[in-house]
Amino acid sequence: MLLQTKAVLGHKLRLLSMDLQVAVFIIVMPLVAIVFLADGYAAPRAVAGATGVDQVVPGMATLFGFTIADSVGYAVFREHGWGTWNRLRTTPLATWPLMLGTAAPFVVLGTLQVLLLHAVGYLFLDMQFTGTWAALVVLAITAATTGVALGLLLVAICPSSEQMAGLVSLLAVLLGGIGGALAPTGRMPAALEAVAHLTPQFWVVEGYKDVILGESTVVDVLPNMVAVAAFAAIFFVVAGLAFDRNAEKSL
Amino acid sequence: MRGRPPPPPAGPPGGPPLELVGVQRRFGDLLAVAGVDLVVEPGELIGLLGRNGAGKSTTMRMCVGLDEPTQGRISILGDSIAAGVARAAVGYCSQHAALYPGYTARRNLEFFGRLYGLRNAEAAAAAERVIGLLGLGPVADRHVSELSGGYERRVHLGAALVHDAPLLVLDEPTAGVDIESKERIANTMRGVADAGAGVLFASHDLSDVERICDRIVILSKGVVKASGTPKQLAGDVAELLRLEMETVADREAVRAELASLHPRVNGRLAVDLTLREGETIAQVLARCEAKGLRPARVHAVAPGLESIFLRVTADDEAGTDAVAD
Repeated sequence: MLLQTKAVLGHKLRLLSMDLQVAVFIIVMPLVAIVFLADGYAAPRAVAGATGVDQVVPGMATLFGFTIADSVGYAVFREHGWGTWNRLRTTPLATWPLMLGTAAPFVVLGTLQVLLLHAVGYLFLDMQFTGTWAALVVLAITAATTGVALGLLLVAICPSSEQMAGLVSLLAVLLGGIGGALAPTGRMPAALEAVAHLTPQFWVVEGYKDVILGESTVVDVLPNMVAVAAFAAIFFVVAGLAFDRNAEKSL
Repeated sequence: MRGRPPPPPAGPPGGPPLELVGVQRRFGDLLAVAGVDLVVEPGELIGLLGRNGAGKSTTMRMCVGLDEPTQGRISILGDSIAAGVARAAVGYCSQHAALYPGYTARRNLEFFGRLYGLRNAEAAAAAERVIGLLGLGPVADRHVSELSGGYERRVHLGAALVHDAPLLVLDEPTAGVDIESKERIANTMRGVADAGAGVLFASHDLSDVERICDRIVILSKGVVKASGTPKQLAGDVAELLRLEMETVADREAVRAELASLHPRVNGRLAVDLTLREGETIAQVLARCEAKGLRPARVHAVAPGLESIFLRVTADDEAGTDAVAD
């Protein structure tokens, strides 16, 4: 089974590397947004030296990071479109290596996106970075896993990639906005601020800010990680329950 | 997984490449496969025929684990198809090509080989063997998206052959391909069977089936209506009578008046009639006489597979087809 898992993982990485638009959307788009929006924002927290870029970088990383749900979902829909999804099901390959192979490259991509955006912010845009990179990495992995889990959930419930793309856009902007990816939650009405806690984006973006502005380490961001991981677990469980392996999907 | 039924029981250990026992598949009110019993022995190439909707594709899908029987048992070498070991023993070629368009033909073959547990070097060697077998040399390093339909179908078949499976399940592998590719695919299927694998091959191409298959199974309304060699099947089916008429109008009159004998136009003026069981040539000629139809010539001819097929599946209703096939 190890050989097959390795084969699927290599295969999925190769497919991802052939699909440049995913990397453009996940990495280049937020980079552009950060450059243009950095000066238009106020500092998210009353920390000496903090500026708008300390809101924009973690915010855009979170907002665009969750659109990875669309990319992972599209990867599954595309297999349906090529007819290879059913072909894979006729091989001795179990479901879990297939799903692991599908998900893992996107978790890696999502993590790289967060690291790259924060590195650009830190090196070129005077973003603060008072915590540890390790804390950022573990949070980024958790956030990317949650985005991937959301993608698998949407694959399970959507019959077409178009429907899924629409839902991802809506959820990314709506939950990202409520969760504080577009503006600090402290500036929202009290009711909305309370609701923000019910979005995974809130825990992610606050975790990133804790790292860059609050000197947070891995241990400090554990509560955020647990909260985000809980969303991932819920998404995975619901996806598993809703997933019908015989369902026909259209690209 | 939603409502997945328990895996069907396995057959006796070390059984034939493929065995179906009382297999049924129901979709709501539609009984797509109504009880199929079938054994594919090693080295046997079986052609599975049936009109659209007869249950061929549903049967094929169940044989490779893409669908589960509502009732009955399917076993591969004695193991339930639900078991990984059974899946490893099957090479499957679906009705539509299922390949990665951005990969070369060679990379597709190697990837599928690796999914069946071949190491990199083994997969490369297996891909090379299949490339030679199917005449893919000139296109082996071209992307599948750039290949003609015929070459694409060959690569698709190659992906089923790459792990040397003892059972091949091929759903219309020659559909819509050029003559050269069709010939190559047909010869490859025959060669694989001659080498000892069991092959189940669904097709609408009766000439291919008649030419290369050891045995023909005709499905109609989800059950096996006839099974045997073309010669055996011809024995089961009434004689074919060819009437040569004087004019096209006479030919059309025969078609209209003797519709119950499944008249088929053969050339400009001839009509082939399939005699019903127990019906004699004299009786048919008497019916012609009674209706004022006077053929210029009458021949009794041995029925070809096409006639056999049409006769065996004559009861099939068109229209219920697309759901099941």
